[in-house]
Amino acid sequence: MDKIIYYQKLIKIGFKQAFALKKVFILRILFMILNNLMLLYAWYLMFLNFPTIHSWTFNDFMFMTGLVILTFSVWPIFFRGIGIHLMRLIENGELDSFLVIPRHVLFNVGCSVCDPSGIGDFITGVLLIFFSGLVSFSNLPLVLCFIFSGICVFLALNILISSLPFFIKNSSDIGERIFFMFFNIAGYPGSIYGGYLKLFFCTFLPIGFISILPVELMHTFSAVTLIYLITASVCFLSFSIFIFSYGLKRYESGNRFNIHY
Amino acid sequence: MKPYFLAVLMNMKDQLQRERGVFLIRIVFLCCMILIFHKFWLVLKAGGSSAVIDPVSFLSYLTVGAGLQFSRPEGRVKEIEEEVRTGNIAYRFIRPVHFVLLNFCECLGVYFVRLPILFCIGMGMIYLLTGSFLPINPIYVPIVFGLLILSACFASLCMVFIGLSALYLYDPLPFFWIVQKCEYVLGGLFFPIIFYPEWFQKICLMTPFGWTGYGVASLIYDFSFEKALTVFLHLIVWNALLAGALIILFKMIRKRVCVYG
Repeated sequence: MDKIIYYQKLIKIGFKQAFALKKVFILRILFMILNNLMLLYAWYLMFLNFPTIHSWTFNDFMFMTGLVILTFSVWPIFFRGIGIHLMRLIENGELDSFLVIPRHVLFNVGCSVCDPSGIGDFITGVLLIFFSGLVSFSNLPLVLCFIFSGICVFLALNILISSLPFFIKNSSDIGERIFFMFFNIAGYPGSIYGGYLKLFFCTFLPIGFISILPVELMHTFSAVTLIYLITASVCFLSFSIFIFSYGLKRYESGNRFNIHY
Repeated sequence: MKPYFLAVLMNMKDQLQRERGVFLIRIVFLCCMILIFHKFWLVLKAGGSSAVIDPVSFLSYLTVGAGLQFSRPEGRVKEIEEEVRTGNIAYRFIRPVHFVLLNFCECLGVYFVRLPILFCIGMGMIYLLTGSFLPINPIYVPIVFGLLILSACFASLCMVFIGLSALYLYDPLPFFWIVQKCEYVLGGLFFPIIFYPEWFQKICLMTPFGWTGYGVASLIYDFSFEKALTVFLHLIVWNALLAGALIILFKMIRKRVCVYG
């Protein structure tokens, strides 16, 4: 219980920091929503020309985009510290002050930064899923399962990439690029992938868990696929935490102590 | 002009040495995107649509557009923004080089290395996927390339402009996202604007992005001297307008900037 309270407070401090500049906070949220809607509008115009892309309609695409954006938004809101921030800390040997706290390093670093633009993503994601027309009361638990697995996948990818500096020197910029590369690839309609590429995206690089399988499950439900989706996402997250913990043993301190929350 | 020339050269060298890893990721990303675009084309073609252009033209067009996007030194916006916010920019004023011109040249240096390499690799990838090379006569490629550099000039000016606007906006990053999305949507970098409804195509060509993106990239499959001249004139006008606005903004900043924010 005290752990939950601790993380709650950590997140609260992150929000307070972000909210210190009120106008910037609101501007970031609004512009992020606009940013997402602009992209969606381009796809809408595309779907006017081609009403279906391999059996996917615009509604399916809207649902997929909503899911991608919503699951992605959890990272900037709650775990923004994981990613480039964490990679820089590892590279510069500044992780020491987080290591001495009797809490998990990943959560400590992750919750220490908050990016308000994530709230914009969250709002857009919820709206897109809601207006896609695919969600009803009966399949709401299913959608929640997709959201859960999506969060696991994005977080796992982020943790894996954040572990790069343990193994490769000066890899923070590379890591940041790789993460956004995955995010961009996940933004295309999953129906265009078939054969080996689909297999690849649904196993080794599980971005298909967000952009392919959920819409397929909405079309034709399969309990086996759903169980696979959830189990594999959790396993992927556990694997990424394991890799991070393994990498942490290789961490080299820079003997720099900073004050943080 | 020597310092500016040296700035271009130094940044070119930097790309090939210090930034090699990040550049490699960009190349991998471009290859992934071409693969996705190819899958996308196959799906559209399978849908029996008549609006689809041939695969080499489609992929070449998107490669030119994506190449322009992936060559962008987006980190420059953050660097300029920080200099403005902290007031460190004031120390740059006393140097015998113009701040705007220097940053512009540094951006160009990055483009000079990334653009040709990404273009060649992209074309190689297209050959692997379709078995054909360029959709236009290779002697026209230098002309297209010259226009691409003009597009890069516009993008560089844009980045310096957004970075400098931090003095008034504090956090200009949200504006950068919007400009980026405008390039994607209005510039037709997602898919050629011929896929859009006619009224939207007209809007696209009223903005600079329609010319920097679609205008230049479409020459790769539909080249004519007349069209190239039209694109050239539009690019010159838009570059001149933005450069003028940038000079005014810089003059205003010189009067207002405070050291240490």
